[in-house]
Amino acid sequence: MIEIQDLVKTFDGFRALDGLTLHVPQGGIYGLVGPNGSGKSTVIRHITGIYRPDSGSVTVGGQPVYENVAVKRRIAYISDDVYAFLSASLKDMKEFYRGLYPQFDTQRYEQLREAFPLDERKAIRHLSKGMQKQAAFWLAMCCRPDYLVLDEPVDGLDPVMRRRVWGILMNDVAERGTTVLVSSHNLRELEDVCDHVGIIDRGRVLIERSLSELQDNIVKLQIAFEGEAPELSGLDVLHRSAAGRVQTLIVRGCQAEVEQVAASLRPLFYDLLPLTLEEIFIYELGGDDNDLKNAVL
Amino acid sequence: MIALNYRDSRPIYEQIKDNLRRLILSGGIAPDEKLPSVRELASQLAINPNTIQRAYRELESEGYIYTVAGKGSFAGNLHEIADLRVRELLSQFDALTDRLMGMGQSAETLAQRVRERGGKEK
Amino acid sequence: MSWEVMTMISKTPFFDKTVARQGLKRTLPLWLTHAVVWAMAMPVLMTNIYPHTGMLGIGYYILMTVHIGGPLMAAFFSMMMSELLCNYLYSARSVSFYHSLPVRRSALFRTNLLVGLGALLVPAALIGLVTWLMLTALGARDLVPTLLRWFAAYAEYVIFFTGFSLLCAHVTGHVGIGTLIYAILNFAAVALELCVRFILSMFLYGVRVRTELIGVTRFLSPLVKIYYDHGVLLQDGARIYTGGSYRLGLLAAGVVMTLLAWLLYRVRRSESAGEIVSEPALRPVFKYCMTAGFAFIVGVILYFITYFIRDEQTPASLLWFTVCMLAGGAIGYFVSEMMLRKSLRVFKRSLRGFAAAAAAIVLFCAAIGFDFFGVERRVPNLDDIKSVTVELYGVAAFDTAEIRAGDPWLSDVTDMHRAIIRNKDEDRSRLSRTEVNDGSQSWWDGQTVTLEYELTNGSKLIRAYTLPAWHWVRPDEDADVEQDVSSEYVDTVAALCAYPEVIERAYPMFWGEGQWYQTTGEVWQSAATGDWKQLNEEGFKKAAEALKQDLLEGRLHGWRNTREDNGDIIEVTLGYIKNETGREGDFYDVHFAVTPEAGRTWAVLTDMTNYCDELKDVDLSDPEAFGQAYPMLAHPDGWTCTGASVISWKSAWTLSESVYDTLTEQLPGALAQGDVLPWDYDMVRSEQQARLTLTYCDQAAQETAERSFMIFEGSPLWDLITDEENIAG
Repeated sequence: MIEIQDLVKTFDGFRALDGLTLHVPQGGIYGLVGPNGSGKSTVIRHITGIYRPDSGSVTVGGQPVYENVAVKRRIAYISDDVYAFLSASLKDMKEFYRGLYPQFDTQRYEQLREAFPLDERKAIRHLSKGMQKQAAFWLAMCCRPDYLVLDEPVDGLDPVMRRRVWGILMNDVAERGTTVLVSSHNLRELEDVCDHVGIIDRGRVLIERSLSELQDNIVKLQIAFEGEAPELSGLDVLHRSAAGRVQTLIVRGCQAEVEQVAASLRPLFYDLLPLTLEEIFIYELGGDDNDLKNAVL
Repeated sequence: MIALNYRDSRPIYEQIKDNLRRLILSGGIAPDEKLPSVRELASQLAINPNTIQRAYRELESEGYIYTVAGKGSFAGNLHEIADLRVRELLSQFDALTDRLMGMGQSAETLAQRVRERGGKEK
Repeated sequence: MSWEVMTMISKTPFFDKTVARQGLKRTLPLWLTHAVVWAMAMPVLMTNIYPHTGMLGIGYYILMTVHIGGPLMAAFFSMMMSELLCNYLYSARSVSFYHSLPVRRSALFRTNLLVGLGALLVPAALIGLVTWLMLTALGARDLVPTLLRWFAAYAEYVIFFTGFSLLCAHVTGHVGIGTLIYAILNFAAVALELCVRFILSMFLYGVRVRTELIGVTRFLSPLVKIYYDHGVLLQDGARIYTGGSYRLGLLAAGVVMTLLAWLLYRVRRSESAGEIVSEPALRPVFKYCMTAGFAFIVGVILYFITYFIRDEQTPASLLWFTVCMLAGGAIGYFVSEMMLRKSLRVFKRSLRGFAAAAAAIVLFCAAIGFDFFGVERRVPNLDDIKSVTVELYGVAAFDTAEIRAGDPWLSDVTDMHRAIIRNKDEDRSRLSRTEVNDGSQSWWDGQTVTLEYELTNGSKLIRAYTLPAWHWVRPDEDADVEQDVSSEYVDTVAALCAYPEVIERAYPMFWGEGQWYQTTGEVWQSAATGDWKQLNEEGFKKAAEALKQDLLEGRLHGWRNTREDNGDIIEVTLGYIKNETGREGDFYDVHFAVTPEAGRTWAVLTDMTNYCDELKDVDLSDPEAFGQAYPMLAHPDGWTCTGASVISWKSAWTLSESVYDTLTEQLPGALAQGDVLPWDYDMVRSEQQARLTLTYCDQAAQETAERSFMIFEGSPLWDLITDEENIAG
């Protein structure tokens, strides 16, 4: 697992990370979502051992990361800005990685050739941004990492390639139990893939939840009463809106329970609807932080 | 074999469950036929394997599939499934009944209705 | 922890092969160029010149390549390697890439260090080896010590400049800045000293801008010191490259700077990529160094430009100078603030910081202008003086009088010095005005008196004053200008120059201090006759003896005091080599303008027997001409050889009697063959030549005759005259 505790990082007086705490369980796929400038990349650079924390701890697999070669060998990092040596081709970068990562799997390299239509002899810097990303993925997967850290990974890829890339990633996660941390500024695209989500803003993680926790425990209830609406005791209401006599309630609780309670209130009618992740978070975040919501959702 | 509708606001594991259930009941997947592994499906659909794992688990507890350690998951026996289906539909029937009664329909009205339908069958 | 993780930890590499390979690939054009240049300079060039230089000579040239080329090559290529290898630290993308890799920063540093050193030194070693093989194949022997010295010297240079350039590369986070700092620091000490000396000479009476740099400055500027102070010499029969202890110092400094660079990398923050100064703690250092540097250099330049536009007579203005320095300092301070903050709007925030710097600048200028440290007034105590030289041209036959501790007249020097300081204002006004008295004009002509003290504590004190020296008078408008009296300073110096001990010190070769060998004595008549002659060996000796006596009797004067009566002046220059055993010597010339007043010398110089016989263009193939020009060789029976001396590139010796006959026998043949030539009155111009002078006595007429020949390496006579067994004494 990846565990960050009270991480503080200041750049020239600006407090980029303000006592941030984050927990990625072993084998989980964690989506880190936040607007630009919230500190996502800064967190990621701590996990990959690029930055040294001012205070707080950053551990991967129970070990602190900074300058820890044993741990870093098990981490693969795909940055939002792919870097390759001047005039280095994919083949050259493969040789470079092979020398540094003991688990590098050349067979997997050959296997993935079918998935990525790239000329491995061409200089990476001369490829389009999308193809550079594909090259980065290709190499990262061959490192057989136990931890995969992705910063805006599918930015620049067309939908077909996106699907393919996620497919390959999920294959490895299923096979090897890789722990993944993905950062994005868009919640929607992470919905299929993540089983944990954390929302980050201004250097702190505001909410961190597992998807099942969210999906199983929030229900959208539409209910209408004849005449006066009774007290809605027994229902943990997060949000309420009304159109005429029809109330739309966001209720915390599992579906069966809520249904029972609703039925017991003897309404005119009631209906239980599923919620998208987006909607869940809108209500979880609560308050008036509309900027955050607009940016993220 | 499974198509997901991205516009469907239901949780993904539910869609997968529904898809698989439909396939098993319609015969699209024969009894005792091997289902795709969690890994294959996750890879194919580009979906979190934990999600698929959950769907399989629930299907197993509902009786639609069974797992053999080391071999994978297989579609269940049709007869048993048919029973399960009946049981499931009946529980839905009960839920509907409750709701209708809650909205003012009497038990009599409902029973009458059922009989009429049964008569038509003949 | 699983055993896999444990073994992974214990195998933390010292240096990383993969990163090293990448580093070598990236810097390939650079170290390849370096190797090619050395390949041209060493095996290619050396094998080409070997036929001309022979075994002894080739050692000299091998060591010269590392003396001339070594520092420059090491300085340039080390910095380029460091800049390229550390390039990844200067951009956020690349530093993120490298620091996310499973390599420790220490390993990255060590890898860069080893690549930087290895890419330069390994090819150099191989080139040395190839040179050895090729030269040995051509017949050279015993080159191993020389080539080892060559490599050791170059390695010391490379290690120093690599450490230095790595430190500069790690101090910054921005591309190119490391190189800039490196280039500046290489010459900073020199620039600073020149500025300080300029400043001192502007404001302090007697302090002048000398041409030679002080020891500390040279020490801190390797590129300067190596070329000034070191060279290739012959010592105890072997070629050595001087400055070995300095190079060891460079080596140690290189190691220390490498360690500092390593330390900087360990504390380095990845986010410093793009910043001018990588370590926040070093920012004030950068700022105040920039301020000081600009204050000096820009301040001095500004003052220099504006000062020389003004009237030269107006004395230096301390106020204006302070303003110039403040301006320079301000530019330096705010430019550095802009560079550090990466913004042009720095004035409001940093004014307070500049106030401190400004105060320091004002204090510095005041300290100099008002002579807080008493530099101007300083005259050493008699007890502290080891020796002092007083230089004033034209008063005596020699220009520099050396006075030592223990001389009774030492106090005359210090008294004069105090008087000079006391009379500063009066002397300056004497020099600047012309007196007019009833139609006659008079003024003072100035001359520079230089006093150079060597003190008992090892330091030197040097002062140079332009003082009124000679009084000129023009009695009326139509009359000629006449030299009138000399000032008290001139009289004091003239008196000092009259003491026999002082004269002896000025002409050590006349009094036999150390081993002095005479070379050529050249004589010109005055413009009236314009003849040029060479003294023969005997004549040289006589002239020296005569000059000695005339000097002691005060009959030889400087050009100020010499009056040309009817154009009767003979100018004579005697050349000497100072030859200490085991080392190559130096050339010295002494020159005199002789008038009939110096009777003894005049007599010697007007006696034609003291001059070489002039042999003009003798046709050696014609036996009659040959016999006429060289009777002692053509008909040796009537002649006895009485002396044989050799003057080589930087050495001179006499030959023992045992070879006189052999030489006489072999010379005709050698002359015919062409590897010996008649001497053409020219100096010895290379290591492969030597001048042989033979003195003969005609048994019949009892006359001596002298003949000189130029002998070239390769001739059998060469071995004869250079063989140690044949050298007398």
